[in-house]
Amino acid sequence: MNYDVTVIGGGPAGLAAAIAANKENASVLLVEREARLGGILKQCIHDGFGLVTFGEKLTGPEYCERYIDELLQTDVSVKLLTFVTRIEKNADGFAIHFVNREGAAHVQTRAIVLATGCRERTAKQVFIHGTRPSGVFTAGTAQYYVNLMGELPVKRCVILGSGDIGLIMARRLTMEGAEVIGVYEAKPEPSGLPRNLYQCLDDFGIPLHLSHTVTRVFGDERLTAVEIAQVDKNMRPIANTEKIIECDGLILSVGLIPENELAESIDVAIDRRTKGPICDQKYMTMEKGVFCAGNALHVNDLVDYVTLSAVEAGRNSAYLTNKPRALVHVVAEEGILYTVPSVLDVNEPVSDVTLYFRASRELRNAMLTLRVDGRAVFQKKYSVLRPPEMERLKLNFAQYGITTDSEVSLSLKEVE
Amino acid sequence: MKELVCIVCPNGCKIIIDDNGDILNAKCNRGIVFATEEATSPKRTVCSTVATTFSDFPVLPVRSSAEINKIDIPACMNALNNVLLDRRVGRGEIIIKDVLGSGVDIISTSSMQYTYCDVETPDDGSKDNA
Repeated sequence: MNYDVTVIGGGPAGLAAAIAANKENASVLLVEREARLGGILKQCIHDGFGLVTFGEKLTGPEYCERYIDELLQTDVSVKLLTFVTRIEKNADGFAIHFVNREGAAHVQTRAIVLATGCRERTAKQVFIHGTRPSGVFTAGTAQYYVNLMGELPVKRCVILGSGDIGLIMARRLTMEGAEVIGVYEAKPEPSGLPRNLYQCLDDFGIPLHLSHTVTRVFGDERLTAVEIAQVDKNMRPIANTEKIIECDGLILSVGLIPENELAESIDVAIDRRTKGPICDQKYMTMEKGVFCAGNALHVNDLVDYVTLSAVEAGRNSAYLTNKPRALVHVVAEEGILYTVPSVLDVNEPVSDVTLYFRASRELRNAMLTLRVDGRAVFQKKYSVLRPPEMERLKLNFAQYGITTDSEVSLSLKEVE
Repeated sequence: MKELVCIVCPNGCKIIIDDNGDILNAKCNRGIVFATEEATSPKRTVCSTVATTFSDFPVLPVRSSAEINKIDIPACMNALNNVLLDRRVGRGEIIIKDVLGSGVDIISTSSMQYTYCDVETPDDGSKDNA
């Protein structure tokens, strides 16, 4: 089979990209490895999704099913329980190899949209000493047990990390009758949104301990206790602050990493900071014909932004041309952790670019400055910026006369 | 003085209610409404699940159709724990009408038809995964 666009991943990014490409009359295939569309939103049963796109406070399932409803009205081909094993570049684009219940097969496609989402950091990636008992879960796994399987995986637990999923699970486990002893965060600042600290922890009297971490786990078959210690500025445990807490569960909410095994397999250049592919304003990666959207590109705080980026990626994937690109980097300078896109293709329109960025640290009264060849061409003041909160900025780069020789940079500085 | 965080949108404004009852730092009107309510009778949307008899869809996600009093959350959870759903429902269908006499319904937030979209699923719920 031949398709104009193959979308890999059936979560919010994949759904929006497939619908958008279909609207541009592209023939589209959507490949999803699970039995149901919707991605992680299936298990995100709490509300707060869709305020930007729908102006409503929806739950995860409600949000994704609106897109599933729409997708099923189109002639997009959907392959469920289908796992992409390999992508092969060829003269006409790409061959996508996959396996499913019918066996192994492949399709030919002109463009790809990578919408593979992100994965949680696991216990192995945070270096906790001790035994390997059961009872140590990532927050997403605990969420899967509770919200999709209807099982309570812990009775009395500790949560390590103050990411939003961890906070959401602190509330969820408490509501279902488990005891959440506390949330421990190694950093001096919480990483979740303030509203989640308020409605998930404060509402239920769950304490948040900043500058604390789990240093050891105990238990043979099942977790019996964890050791908690205070940490210093460099996040190293401080001697003699250790405390043993008896529990049968340790929930980890210690960060998300874009999932890009497929991208790397075809040598798509990855941004060190976002851990997702480097892309231009059309969401095309450095590999011609390969687009990327959603959490595979960079971890978003709002699904609404995932959808918006995927609509762009999907639409652009339908109009793949052989036109050469003229790329200019947007250099992230002082105060900026990263920007997405980080590259502009000046052979394509740059008059309406949505730039997402994160501050590298908490900043108050910060001035954002866009410089072209050293000259400040755009400035905006922010009263407060925090790394966990992504900012969105619409910019018209066309007015700055940018060419491939231009030096474009973005910086943030605190001002009086 | 009372400090609270607005939960209406992701901005999460840190709102202050001073000793005169004045509401400060809310960036929008919805925040003022939230703070007023939060100071008198705090309300929350309850999102949870109810058990079903279907092995391919063991729990159905539900939420309250509007906010309920915060103090009623445990009683509401109790009511949800007593539900065993034996029919396949669509998104938005009422699961418990007028929960705890609050005037608020508990509604389904997922369509059970989306189970295994292209796979045949047992309809009677009597079959077990075993």
